[in-house]
Parts: sequence; C-alpha cells; structure tokens
Amino acid sequence: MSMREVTWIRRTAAVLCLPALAACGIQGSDVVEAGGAATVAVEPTGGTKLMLYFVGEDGQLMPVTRSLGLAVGPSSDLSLIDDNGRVLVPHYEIDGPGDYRIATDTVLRTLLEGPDEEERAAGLTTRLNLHGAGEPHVRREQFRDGRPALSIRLATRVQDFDTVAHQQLVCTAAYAEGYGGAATVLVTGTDGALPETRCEA
Amino acid sequence: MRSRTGEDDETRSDPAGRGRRRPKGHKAKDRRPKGRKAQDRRAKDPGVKAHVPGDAGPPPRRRRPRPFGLRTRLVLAFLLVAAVGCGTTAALTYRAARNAILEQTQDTAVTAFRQQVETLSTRMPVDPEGLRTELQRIARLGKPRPWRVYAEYGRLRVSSTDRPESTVLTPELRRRATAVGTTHGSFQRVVKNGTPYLTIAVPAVFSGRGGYPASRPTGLVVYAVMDLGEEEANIEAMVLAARDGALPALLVALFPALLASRGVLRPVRELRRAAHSMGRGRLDTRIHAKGSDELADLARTFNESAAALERSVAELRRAEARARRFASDVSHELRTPLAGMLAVTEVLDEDAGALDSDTARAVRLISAETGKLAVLVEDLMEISRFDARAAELHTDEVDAAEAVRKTLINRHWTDPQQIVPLLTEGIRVRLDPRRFDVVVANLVGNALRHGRPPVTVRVYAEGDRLVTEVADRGPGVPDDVLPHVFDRFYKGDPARTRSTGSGLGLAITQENVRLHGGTVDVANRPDGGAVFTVRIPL
Repeated sequence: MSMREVTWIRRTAAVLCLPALAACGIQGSDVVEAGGAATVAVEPTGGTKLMLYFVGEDGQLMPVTRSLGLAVGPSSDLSLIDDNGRVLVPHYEIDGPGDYRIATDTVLRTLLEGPDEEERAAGLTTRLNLHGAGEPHVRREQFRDGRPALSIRLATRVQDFDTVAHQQLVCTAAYAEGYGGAATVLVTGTDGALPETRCEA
Repeated sequence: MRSRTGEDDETRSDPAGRGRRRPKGHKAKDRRPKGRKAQDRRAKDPGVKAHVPGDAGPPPRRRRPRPFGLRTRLVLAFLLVAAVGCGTTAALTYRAARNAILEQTQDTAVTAFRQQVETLSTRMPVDPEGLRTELQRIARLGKPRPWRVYAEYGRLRVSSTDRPESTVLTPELRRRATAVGTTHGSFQRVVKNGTPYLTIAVPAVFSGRGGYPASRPTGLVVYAVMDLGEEEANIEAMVLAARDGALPALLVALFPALLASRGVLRPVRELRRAAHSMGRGRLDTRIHAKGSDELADLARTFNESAAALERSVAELRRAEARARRFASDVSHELRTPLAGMLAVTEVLDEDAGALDSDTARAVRLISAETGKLAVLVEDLMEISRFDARAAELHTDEVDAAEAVRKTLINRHWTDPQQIVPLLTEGIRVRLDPRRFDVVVANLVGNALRHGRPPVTVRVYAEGDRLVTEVADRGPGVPDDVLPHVFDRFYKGDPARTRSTGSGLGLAITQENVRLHGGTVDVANRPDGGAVFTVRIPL
C-alpha cells in the first residue's frame, strides 16, 4: 500500500465523515411558511360600530374599529338609514331588517377627522389632511360587470392624494357600504376624478 | 562422516581391495545413491520438519511486522468499510431522526400556537393591558412547552414576559409576517448564543363575525418563541448513541478482519516456509491444502510441482548412481583378471632374459602396460569411492615432517639432486596417514614427471593450517591449463596422448585434501616452475 493510497483513503474518510459531523445539533433555518393566518374575533361584535382605515408606521393600511355604543341617538349628529336610503333616525341608516349601519357619509367624515388619541398612541396616522373639506358625499352607482360601484364626491382637491390616502378613502367607504373589497370606487374632487380603484387592504 | 555402514566402507577403503567383495546384489543395494549433499539425506528423513534451521543456506527470515503488509491492509480495509457503513448509517439515521424530531416539534408548536391565537378577542387598536393578559394565558398553554408570546400592532408592543420585545425574532420573520396581503403563518429556527429557538409568527385576520371583512389582515401579528433546548438534548443523545454504537461496531469489525487476514496469511506463510524448505533441498516438502479457495488451489499446485520436481531429481540421482556404480563395477571386474595377469607378467619378466630380444621386449612391454593398467584400475576404484561418498578418514595424530619423510623414503625419492625436503620439525597434526601419503606422493610424482628437478617439498605451519608445498623447476603450467589441472583425465598437451600417469592422480589428491577439510592450489612461480600448495587444518 503506497503512501498515495493512504492519503486517498484518508481523504475519502474525511469527505465521508464531514457531512455527519457538520450536521450535528440544531441549525438555524430560513423563514418557512406554515399554515394560514389566525382568525381573531374583533370587538365590538354588535351595536353601533364603524371601521376606519388609517396608516401604520410602515405606511401600510391599518383597520381600526370604533364602537359608538349608546352615543347614537336623536341628539347625535350621526344618522341611520335603511337600504332604500330612508332615514330612520336623523343621520342613521337601517341596514336590513333588525340591523342597521351608519351612513357612509358619516363614516367618511369620521375618517377625515383622523385617528383618536388611543389610535395615535398605537402609532396610527392619516394621510387625509382635509380640514374644512366639508361633508363628503357617497352615492351608490349601478352595478358594473357584476361589481358594485360607489362614487365619492369631495369638496376639495384630490389630484395630489397619494396611493395610501386614496386607499384610506376607498377601503373605508367600501367596507362601510358593506361591499368589502369588491366595490370599485370613483373619487371625485374639485379638480376632477381619480382613477377608479378597489380596496387592496 | 560419509557413510553409515562401516563394513561396506572398510571394504571400499581397503587399498588392495582384493578378495573381500560382497555379493553383487548386496553391493548394488548398498551403493544406492547416498545423496550428493548432506541435505539430500535429510530430505529423505520423514522425521525432519519443513522448518528447521539448517547449516546450509541462510536461516529463513523471521516474520517481522510489516507496516503495510497483507494483514494491515486487510484490517484497514475492514475497518474502513465498517467505519463507512457505521458512519453512513449513523449519519442518515441521525439526520432522519433529527428532522423528524424537529418537524414534529415545529408542526405541533405552529398548529397549537395558531389555535391559541384564534381564541384571542381584541379591539382595533389593541388594548395593551387586556392583550397582555391574553398573551400570558396563551404562553402558559404552549405546546410542547410554554412559549414566550409577543404581539405587535402598529407601534404597540405587548408580550407575555417582562420585556416587550424579543431579541430572538429576526427582521426577516417580521417582514414576512407583516408584508402586505400576508395570510399565512411562518416559523424560523434561530440559534442565539448557542441556544436554538423556534420562532413562530402568525398574523391575525378578521374572523368575519360581527360584519367585519373575513380573512382581512387586522394589522396585529403575534409571535411565539420556544426554547429548543430539550430537542437539542434529544438530538445530542442520538449523536452519542450513534457514536457509542459505531465504536463497538468497529471493534467487532476487527475480529472478522483478523480472522480473514489469518485465513489468508497462514497459507501464505506455510507456502513461504515450504518454498524455503524446497530451496534447501527438502523436496518432499508438502503443504496441507484444505478448502476450495484460490489459496488451496495454489497449495495443491505447489504440491504437484514439488512432487514432479522430486520425481525428476530422484530420476537424475538414480541415473547418476547407475553411472557411478558402473565405473566402480568395471574397476572391480577388471581387478581380478589384472591380478592374475600381474602375477603372470612378473614371472614372464623374470624369464625375459632367456628369451630372444624381440620377444623379451614384447614381454617387458606387456608387463609395464599391465602394471600401468593395474594402477589405473586402482585409481578408478579410489575415485569411484570418492564419488560414492564412501571414502572414510582414519585420522591419527602424526608428526607432519615425519610423515612426509616416510613417504619420500618409501618411494625411494632420496636423491638430493632430485628432491629437496625443507621440513619444519615438530608439527603435530591429526590426519589420515595413508591419504596424506597419497597426496604427497601424487604431488611429488607429478612434479617429477611433468616438471624438472630439483623438486622442493616444504612443510610448515601457517596460522591454524598445515601447509605442504611441492615446487618444481620446470616450465610451469600453461595459464589455460591451470583451472583444469585437477580435472580427471585432463591432458595439458593434447598432442601428448600417452602419459605415464593414470590421469587421475591430481583428482585423487584434491579429493583426499577435501576429505581433510583442506584446499589444494596450483600456481606458477615467477622464476619458473609450478607450485602445488596443500593446506590442511591443524
């Protein structure tokens, strides 16, 4: 057995042993996708509630829920309406039998008022700085291509809205009307309309 | 030394050799080839083992450890195979088991964590205090072991521990969990300060209850961190088990390795011994060939070759013995009629004076030739005794100078013109006086016949040797003849077909000296003449 053979055998042994030795213990890994997200119950589940979209620290849309509780009433400046647009209580809309929702105009007005104290504490902001823009007006349009369509009219300039601000309006309006992400929304201002779009949050 | 049957030897060594011949059959039997060499006889002895340190040839080399001999190589090969086998098996088993352990732990943890997160109920934005209580509840219910649970919503950081944020969570995991549109959980193994952790991220989405949009991200992400120390301990235990299993396996592999090398090496060793023994002339050496493997085949082939070799050698020896016996028999057969002829020619010689001159010359010629023939026959018998190894030494302690002097006187070589004896007195030596007499007589006679007088006979001691030197004043021996001087019937001069000697004298001299354990050399002196030097151990 020559020295070359010995060297060869040693190398082979080393190569064979290497993976066994190197793979000892627990190694770190990449991020691995595993299963779906967790569905959580979000409060409030009933009563007078509304959902607004504000902006997180990283610029992503963050939904917030607000319960209006017993503050809703004739003395309130909110109105409840039914599906036919009939106003049951001033500023209230009835959404189906036994259920009701807050008029989308009211929801949008609340959105424009910006995050409250608690929401600001969580780092939420808004890109819609439209003080004095007046009451936004939402109108249901005809279904187009099997999709619901909404149009929002604002008494302010809209062309310099960024995408996030646009989405805040679109998402809040779409969910307030009960269409979720399905509705196409057209935002019109004093300087023309923004492109029709849907909620992507 | 040369013969075992003393009686037979006496008969042969009888210088006259007359009258005491044995029956032919018996003689033939006794003159079986005795073997040219001592080893030959030993080879016939069944009691002699193959491996005996002998006096002839170098002793067989002892087994010495070889760094890369057959045994080492076989053992290494076995160990290598065993190591590779054990190592590969252990490594594969280990990997599979480790992955199984980790996968089970991960799957259990991820599933359990998602289930626990789904029991959460929260407002948006989250209420830190309420959520903290919830997270602590979830942390306690961790499977397979308690988790540390962290929640992130916007800028809010809530955890089940006293630290709001974990240092184990990687930015990569965070990015994947908070990416736009992410609706799946993910996990990552992280090793921090030598401790392995399992980190899980699950984004929370709306359940759809309460009129909220189902499966839409809420912006809340919940993380769990679990220590994998127990799994690592289990895995380490597996490594130890694999090692503890592999080492005995290597030791166990040593046994078949040694067994196999023994199975190969023993026949090889036997073969080597047998070959060595054959080389030293023991042609009856055989190997015990058992089994049906290649080595047994080799052993059988060796045995067959050895048998064939033994047969041919025996045949050669028989032929040689027949030739030798023939020469001996012829000499014996010639001796009896020659003895009669010698007696008759002696009588005729005496009466030759009364015959007419031609007849007398013829009678004297016959007489002389008959005498020469008798000498030739005696020499032939002597030489055949040497060939048959039947010549025997009858040593006696004698005075060397006295012995030489006696020889010269007996042969009537006393003329100081012819012979100049320069004898150192008082050298006692053990030798066979009759054979020493033959040696001296042959050399002096040869010098007188072929050289020119005066012949100097010198006897002296040189170291532990008795040196007898016979020098003449003749022309010396031609160089091309020198190597053949002691050959039988060698004629220095091809033209000289008739010689006064038998042609065997120097050959007999050499054999006699060898019998004494001595040497005889011939050389030419620078000032002319040949010198024969006999050296015999004192």
